[in-house]
Amino acid sequence: MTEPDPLLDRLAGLDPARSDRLPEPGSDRHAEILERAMRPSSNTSRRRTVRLLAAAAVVLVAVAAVLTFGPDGSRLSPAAALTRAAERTGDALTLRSDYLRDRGDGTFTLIRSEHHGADVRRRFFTVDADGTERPGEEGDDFIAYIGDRGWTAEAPDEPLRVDPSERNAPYAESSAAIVDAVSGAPVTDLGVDDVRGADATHYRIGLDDAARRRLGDLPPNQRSAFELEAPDQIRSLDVWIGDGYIRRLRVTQEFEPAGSLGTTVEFYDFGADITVTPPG
Amino acid sequence: MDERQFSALFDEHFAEVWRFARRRTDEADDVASDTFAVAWRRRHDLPAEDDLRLWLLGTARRILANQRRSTGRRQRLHRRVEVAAVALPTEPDPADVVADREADPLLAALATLSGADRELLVMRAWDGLSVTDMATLLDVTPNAVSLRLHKARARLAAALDGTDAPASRTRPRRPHDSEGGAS
Repeated sequence: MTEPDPLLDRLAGLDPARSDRLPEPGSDRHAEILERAMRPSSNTSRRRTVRLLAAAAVVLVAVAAVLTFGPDGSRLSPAAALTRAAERTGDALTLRSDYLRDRGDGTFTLIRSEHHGADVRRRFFTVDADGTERPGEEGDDFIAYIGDRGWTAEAPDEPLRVDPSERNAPYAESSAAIVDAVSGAPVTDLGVDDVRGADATHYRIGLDDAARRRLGDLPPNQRSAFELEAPDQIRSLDVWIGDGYIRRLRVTQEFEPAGSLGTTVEFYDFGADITVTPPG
Repeated sequence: MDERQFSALFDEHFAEVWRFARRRTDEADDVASDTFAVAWRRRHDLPAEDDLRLWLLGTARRILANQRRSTGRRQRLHRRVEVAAVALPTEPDPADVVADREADPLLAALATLSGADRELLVMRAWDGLSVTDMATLLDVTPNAVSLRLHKARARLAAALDGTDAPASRTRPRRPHDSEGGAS
């Protein structure tokens, strides 16, 4: 291949790097690339700040009287109970959650998560019609996020860099935002149900135009876990509140011609000792 | 090696590393930075000057491959409910890079080749690498590079003429098919 080759010579003349501007020595861009090479940035301090802020939020929550009863012991109105539960749930630092998504064939996708602030470890299961939980087809299927790093079951030794702004908000934060968005809508108290062995009051939200509009105004990262990109499709929205927290949130949507989509998230183990660690 | 010496090394090799990356991705600054970050971490253990150029290009090549794998995984995550509905960058691919410039039919023909063929031709025509250097980077013998390069060139010519080469027909592009993988 040392002889002249008109085809490759012609190709050489089309080298895209010839026409693109190389960062010139002495330019800011050139210096920045060298700086990034020699001093990779650390997110440690930022992560620490986030955790301190989250811890401070928990302290504030701990001293607040935020049960479904007011300071004088009277029962809060449904709207007030929803608002307070939204605040309290959204501020929780550690908790666990089960996210169930109806596949429409009698089975469900279950995402079981442990949360510490924005750090989360999720495991994926299939739930059969008889309630049997099965792990992913290839064994333990998980995602873990710590700060801006993400690990998946496919490559547990190769963390990805994922900007937190590209991720879904934590389910508790999303649920809190959804409940807060609809707290001004008509609410019906449907009585007390058992949620994971504890009493929780079941509220059904009567979605009016204003509530749907507020749901539509939520940031994408707070809507997408529940796929609320089209609030007009929502058929029902139910919230269960116990001990001042959102214990369960269920959203049912109707898509034509795909059929209905049901998503339910349950929260438990608030304040548990949870630390999310890298896999392995 | 101190910072001053490393800066000199950076100045000497930056342009080639950046261009090598730019021919394969739109994120050449990041790949160059990551490549020299590896060099900085291993500054006490770098190959001799004669081998340093190929070592840097090989490092850039691995970073590009990791970048493609990571992007592929991120896209899978995106589909798995977890990642918010925010647009992610598409997978960088040399074919896409050249496809942006498809005003020339030769680039259009190049874009139709397999990732392995493209990588050989790009290494030769754009990176200006010798067969021996290509063999080092691809970890194959020079004879194998010569043979594959000859075939790739024939397929490029056939694609330019709008006909298929007689052997080893061009296969359709698949996702993640852009890695050289000429072995």
